[in-house]
Amino acid sequence: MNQTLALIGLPTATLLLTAFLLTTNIFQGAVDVLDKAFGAAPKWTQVQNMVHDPATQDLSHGEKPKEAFLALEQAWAEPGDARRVMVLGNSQTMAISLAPGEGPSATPERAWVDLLARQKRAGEVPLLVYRSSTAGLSYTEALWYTHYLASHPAVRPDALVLQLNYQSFWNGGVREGLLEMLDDGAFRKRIEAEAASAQPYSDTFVQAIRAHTETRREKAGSIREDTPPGMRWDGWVRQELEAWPPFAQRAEQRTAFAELLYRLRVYVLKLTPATARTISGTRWNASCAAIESIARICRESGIRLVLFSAPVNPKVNLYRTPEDRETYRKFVHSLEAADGVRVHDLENTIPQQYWGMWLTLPDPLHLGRKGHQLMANQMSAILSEELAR
Amino acid sequence: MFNSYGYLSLLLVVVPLYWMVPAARRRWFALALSVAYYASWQPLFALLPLALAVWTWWIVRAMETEPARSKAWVRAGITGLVGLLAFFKYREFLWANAVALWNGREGQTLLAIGLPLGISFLTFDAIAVLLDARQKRVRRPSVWDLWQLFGFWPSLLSGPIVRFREMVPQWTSPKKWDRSALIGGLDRLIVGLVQKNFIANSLGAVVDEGFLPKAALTNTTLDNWVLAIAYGLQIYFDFAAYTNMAIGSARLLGLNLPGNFRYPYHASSPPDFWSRWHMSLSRWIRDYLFFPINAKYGGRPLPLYISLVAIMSLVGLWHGAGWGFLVWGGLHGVYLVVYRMWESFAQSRGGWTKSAWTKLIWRGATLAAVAIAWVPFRAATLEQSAGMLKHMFLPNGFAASYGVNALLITASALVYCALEPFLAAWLQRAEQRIIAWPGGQLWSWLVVRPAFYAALLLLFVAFDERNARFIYFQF
Repeated sequence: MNQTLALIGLPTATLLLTAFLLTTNIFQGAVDVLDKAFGAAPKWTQVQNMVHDPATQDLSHGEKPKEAFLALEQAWAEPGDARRVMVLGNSQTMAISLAPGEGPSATPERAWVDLLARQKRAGEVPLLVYRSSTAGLSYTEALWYTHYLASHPAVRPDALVLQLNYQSFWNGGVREGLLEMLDDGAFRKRIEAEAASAQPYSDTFVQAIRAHTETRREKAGSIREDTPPGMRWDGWVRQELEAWPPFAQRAEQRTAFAELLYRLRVYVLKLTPATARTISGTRWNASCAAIESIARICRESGIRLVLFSAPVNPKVNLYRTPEDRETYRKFVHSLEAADGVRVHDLENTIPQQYWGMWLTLPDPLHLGRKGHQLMANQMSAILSEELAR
Repeated sequence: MFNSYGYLSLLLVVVPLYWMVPAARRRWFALALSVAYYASWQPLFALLPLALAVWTWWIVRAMETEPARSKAWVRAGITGLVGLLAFFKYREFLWANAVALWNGREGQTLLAIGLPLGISFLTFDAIAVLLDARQKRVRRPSVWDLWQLFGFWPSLLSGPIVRFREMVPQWTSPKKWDRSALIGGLDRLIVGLVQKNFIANSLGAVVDEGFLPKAALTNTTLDNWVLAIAYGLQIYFDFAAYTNMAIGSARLLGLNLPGNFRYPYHASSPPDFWSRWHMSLSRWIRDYLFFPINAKYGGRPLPLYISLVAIMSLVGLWHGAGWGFLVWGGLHGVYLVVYRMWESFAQSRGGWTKSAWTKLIWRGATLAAVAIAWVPFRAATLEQSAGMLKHMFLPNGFAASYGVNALLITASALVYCALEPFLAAWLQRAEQRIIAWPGGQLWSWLVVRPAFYAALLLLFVAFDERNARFIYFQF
């Protein structure tokens, strides 16, 4: 074959095909094929049409917290008689997965925190409820939020409602989006103090500070004079590539690929979020210590901490062994004993028929429409009781 | 960095230009590119390869003009090179430890000077030339040859460690354009991009969290074993990725760099591991340290064992100025000694010592021993590595702390690592079959290969992280 054809043809065909693959999200296609092959529940059962209200929710789910807190400051600027309540939890507090028998609705739907916000704002003792939840919230992130709330009177709540969820003890780290909060001097000081402490989670904060510093340096680097020419050139090439939409959206390919792998894990290996597990070691220790610190900070800042054990679908067993359940319970009781907080046990309070079927995957861990209503009612009673204490 | 868009975009321009330049001038074009490459990252030290070339040339010239004093000259040359390395790389480490030894406190920073990129590799390249010149394996090198050798951009920063006699002849007798250069180059380059962005970086996220200094002390036994394996895989894929890209870049210019990896985790014994891991370094150590020392002591066991541990400890220290590196090297030295002792024992016994079971046990033990040694190499302090190693052997819970995904990422990389040689062979066979079809050559070049490359490039782009540095850059 002609040498010139080889020299030109191979790289050209490679670049063209790469461009083609970037414009078509083949991973998403593979995800859809897998869902179909394994008979997953219809996707519409995951409610997309949710209420959006920056006065009661962090719409960015932890990706742009500065913007969210700014909106909250405005919403809470003149509370009048109302008491301020902040809810921190994972996707269970903000997503609706329709249960069997529940059909789609044309009007925007409300998760239990949204229902509570609407209900309580008009109640006898008005409450301003705000949800700062994020999917896969870790307790180090909850501590991160607590430090911010405690150091900013404009957003300091009267009560902080924190969801305790056995699986969340396995989460760790601080997501990238939250790092921008370190731009705030008072908050940064608190996080630096945590990083310097001997707490089991302190490394996470060291890492977060380092990542934030690097990000800031990188941003400044594009205009700094001592940036090496190679880095400048790379920055320029990236910038030019970013102008091409398929390249700029490459993170979507990554997400779709991760979803593909996740589905393989769920469908083939049968390792689902509902698989029973033993949680111990580093992340367990860090999560327990973070919750203890949250309790301490709340006590010192005059914030009432309201803890509740998240409801669990009765058909799901999250604990691999009875000892795992015992360890978890023991920790929860130790919080009550040490910090005088009450942990409201809602674990077995939502009957099986009110649990949903699908949340980005076959999923039995999120509430249906009626389930959210039941949760809102329960939490309403708990808040009335707690704030009257 | 080889995995940056800046580098890749330049390569697209530079490679065709290189082949357009008249053959006799290509080496000068490549030298100019090498200087520009170094200067684009560290302008301050851009002429360091030239300085080392002049120093090496001067010493070699002195050896050739005064053969009677060649030993003294080579010693002076090596002292100068090691002194330079010590000044840049070990100054702070030596000072801090000296001060700590003197008054029990940590020492202050001596002099804030950055580490020149690739200094460890450049030094070894230069020492190899001096020792080869003394053995008359290198004769009358010119400054240009040496500058070209030390400064050649694909191998400049992190190897492979090259030798005068394997590189310089390639410059002086340039090849004609050949499409195998394109295939060989692109194969290596693109596989390297995926190994780095997709595999090594994914493992890096697991490892970075697990090795956090304070948290690591509460890891369970399972965590620590998984982390040791995960780091072993991360550093392999990271360094193999770098090497593949270096070799690939050189291949695109029609030049062959020596290989650095041959499926190291398929090793059947500690010496076999070192014949597969960082091969250009192993070769250097064998030829310039081990063989001469072994010859000096006539192969007697005790000096041999002591020298093995000492040499490997130095190799560890070469990687970085830290006690953890020294321990890593020392452990590998001990593994080599234990294996030698076993070999002597097995030779005298025969029978069961040579059974398939024994071989299997050695294979498993080698992998476990290599994984154990990665702990001090990666840990931030000796205290941390001691704590993690303790919990690897004394039970500290058998549950996983870091979630299912950390286990799955590590397991997937491990399976890929195990299948790597078979996959490579299978791909080669598949291509041969396609080429055998009518018009198969054209299919292979214009459809099959581009599709394969594009699929890999898609992964590279999707998992792109800005400034994801190679681990070996710090060495």
